Amino acid sequence: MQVTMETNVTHLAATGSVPAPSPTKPPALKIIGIGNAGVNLVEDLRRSGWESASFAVVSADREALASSSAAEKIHLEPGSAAGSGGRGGERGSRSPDNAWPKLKTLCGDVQTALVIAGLGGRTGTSISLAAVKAAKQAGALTLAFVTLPFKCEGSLRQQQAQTGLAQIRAVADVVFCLPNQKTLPLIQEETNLVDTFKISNQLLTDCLRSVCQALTTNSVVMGLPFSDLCALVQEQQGATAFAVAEAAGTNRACEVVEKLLKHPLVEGGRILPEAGTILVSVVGGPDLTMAEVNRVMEKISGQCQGAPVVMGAGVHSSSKGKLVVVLMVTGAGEAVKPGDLPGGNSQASSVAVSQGAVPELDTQLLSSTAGGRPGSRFVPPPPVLSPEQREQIIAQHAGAGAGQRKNAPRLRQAQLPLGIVSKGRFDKSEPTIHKGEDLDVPTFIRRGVALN
Amino acid sequence: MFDPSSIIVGLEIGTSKVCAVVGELAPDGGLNIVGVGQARSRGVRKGEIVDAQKAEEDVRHAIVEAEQMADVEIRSVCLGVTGSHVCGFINRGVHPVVSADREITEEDVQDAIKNARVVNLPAQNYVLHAIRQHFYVDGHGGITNPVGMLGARVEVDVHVVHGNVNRLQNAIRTVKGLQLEVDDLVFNGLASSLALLTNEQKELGALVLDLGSGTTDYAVCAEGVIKHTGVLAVGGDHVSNDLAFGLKVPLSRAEQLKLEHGAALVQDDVKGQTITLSNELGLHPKTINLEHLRRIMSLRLEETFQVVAQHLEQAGLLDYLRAGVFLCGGGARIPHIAPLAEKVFQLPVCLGKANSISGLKSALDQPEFATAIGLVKFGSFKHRKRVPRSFFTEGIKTTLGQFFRRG
Repeated sequence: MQVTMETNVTHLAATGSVPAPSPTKPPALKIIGIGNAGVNLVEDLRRSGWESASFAVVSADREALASSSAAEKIHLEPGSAAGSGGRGGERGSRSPDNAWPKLKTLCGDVQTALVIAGLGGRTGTSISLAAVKAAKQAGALTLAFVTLPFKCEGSLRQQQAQTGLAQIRAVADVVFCLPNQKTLPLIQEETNLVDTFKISNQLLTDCLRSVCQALTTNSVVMGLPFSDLCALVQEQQGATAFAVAEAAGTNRACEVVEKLLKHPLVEGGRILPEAGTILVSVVGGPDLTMAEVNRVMEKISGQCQGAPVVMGAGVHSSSKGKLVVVLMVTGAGEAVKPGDLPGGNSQASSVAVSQGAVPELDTQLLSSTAGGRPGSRFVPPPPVLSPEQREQIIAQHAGAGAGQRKNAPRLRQAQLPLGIVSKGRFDKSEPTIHKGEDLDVPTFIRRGVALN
Repeated sequence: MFDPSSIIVGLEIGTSKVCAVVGELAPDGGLNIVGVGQARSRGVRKGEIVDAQKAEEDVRHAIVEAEQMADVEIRSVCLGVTGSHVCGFINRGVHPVVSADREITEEDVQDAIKNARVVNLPAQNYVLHAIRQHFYVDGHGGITNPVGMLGARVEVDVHVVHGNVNRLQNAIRTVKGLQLEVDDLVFNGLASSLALLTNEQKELGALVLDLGSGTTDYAVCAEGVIKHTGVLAVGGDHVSNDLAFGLKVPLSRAEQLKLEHGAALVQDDVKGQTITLSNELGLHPKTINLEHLRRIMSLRLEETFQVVAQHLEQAGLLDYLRAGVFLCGGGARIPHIAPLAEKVFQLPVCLGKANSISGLKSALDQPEFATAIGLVKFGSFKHRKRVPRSFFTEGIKTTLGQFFRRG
């Protein structure tokens, strides 16, 4: 299993250092762009040098398909309500049923499928879900990189996108989600519309490449197990914020963190304390030093307060003399409540799978060579454990989680939205706080004295 | 008719009542309380004005009542202030003695005090009081007057009471809106301690705890000086609010229940007792468990005392209070409040009597009036200092007159 996985990941890396797969082998990584946004992104990806992957695009727009340089192109026949503007969910969207056989053949022999789409649109939302399902059925490791529409695009698109996101989340192994709204700070006043989407695409491409690089660097020093990543991303229902920074020179460790924190998506480091999980990947050339990694991590952890930080470090021959840090912040900002979304919690299968891979994760951490190799979810039978072993592992994990929380209490205490205890006449006055207790709340309630 | 210059008025704009006390300074220096005016306060929460218009109306009522009772025209008042923004701290000033013989002169002492009063406070903070405490000469403490002693360095502690200038201005503006002058701004806790404590008690060490309805103000006197002051924005209103919430009754009813059935301790004999509330609307009568009522009250009051005790413990003052704790304010009327306070502070507790002012009618010697009486007393101190200056010409006249008469 480890061997097959390795071939996968080396192709995932695909930054030119790995030879292209021989034509006899099935394509290891297939990047499927769906809808106009997907087509554009695939173009961008191709241009930035993903020779080893095979590309496919699915769109209803003939012109967009014609302009695409992808190897496989699927044209969707406009549905019955073509051109009605995506109203009412299924009605205006291209019927996934028509596209299903095509998608199925597309994903037939793929080992890793990467579905890229802009959610909220007509094609993007429903077809991407179908594509994810098709890839899953084919037994492929399925990743989805999706964007959510700008707020100004209207609540209907937002709603469609959120619904789609929840459905994709339930099926795909990993979903990376970038709300376009988050790219707004990157955009100048005079940036035109086309450039705006280019910026958003650029960001997504950067992140995609960096994350893949982080996962698959040739000689991994400190691993970022893939199963870990899956679990982290899957647990967090909220949006993901990415930031990539690159620096070179003697002072690169400091510069790179400064650049990262200045990144508009990180909001000057403000989102870090509120984040659910922070994932840091440090990739450098062969000259990467431990001191540098340490400096970067120290600075970032200092900003994070209590949020758990997961880090990985790797050496990549192509980034000689450079230091690339990728920051992925999940659960930051407006979290999507699972209950709000239809089908949001219909399946917890992928979470369950990643939990099933927990013992395997441990062995990965222990073995130094395979440390960074991603654990795979398509090796279903978990190792047989005796009940004692199982308990031990569960306790170990529970203990580790609790310890982390206790050691680094979050400074900002969030207020629960359950406003059961009213402060009566002091509702609107300045609260009297003594040692963290709001003295305006009746004493007997704070002390938990039962009256009956 | 009184000489207007000898009239001193203390005005307290409290959370539950506005109280104006008129004092008359006798020529021999004695202070007589000649009038008192009260009005229900509606525009104050936690000791601070939240509705300026209502507060102004209430102040007017109180002043008018006091004027009628004392038969004087009130022109200026000594205004008591409180609120969670008021707080006190100790600041130390140092002055090196530079004279050749190392004798400490009056100037050295004044310089030390001046240095101590220079406090680094944000611009929005206004210093209400800077109360001088004992001197240190070359590190030796407990010196009340170092003039004439030998030493190289004079140090002095000053207890600075400060508050937010905007919030203090709210109270001043309300009074000024009634065409009244504000002679002094005085922290309520300090005023209460002036009213209640005798010199001996101040020397022994005492805590004055003013249990108001909006705030609990406290002041610690030890070794003859004010050592510590503070405000806790928790008071009788909180008790009523707790009762309203816990017993599920309207706030006004909770207030009434507190006055009629409240107590600071839960005694065994109330267990199982109930109170039936009648209502005029013909609804089902509601029964309330007396034990619950007392328990809710007791918990709140106990916590209030505990918070104050914690503050004092932090300041390291609990061991100085040999005279004990003196309670005043409306909260002092709660039955069994003294035993409860005794339990928390582990000190003798008694209800304070404003007995340090001569000529006070016993009818006025109520715990609620302690602050206003203290304000009058504070005003009288200032007044005595002011008199020789303001009536300088008159002083000359009388002296000359006596001279001629003798001649």
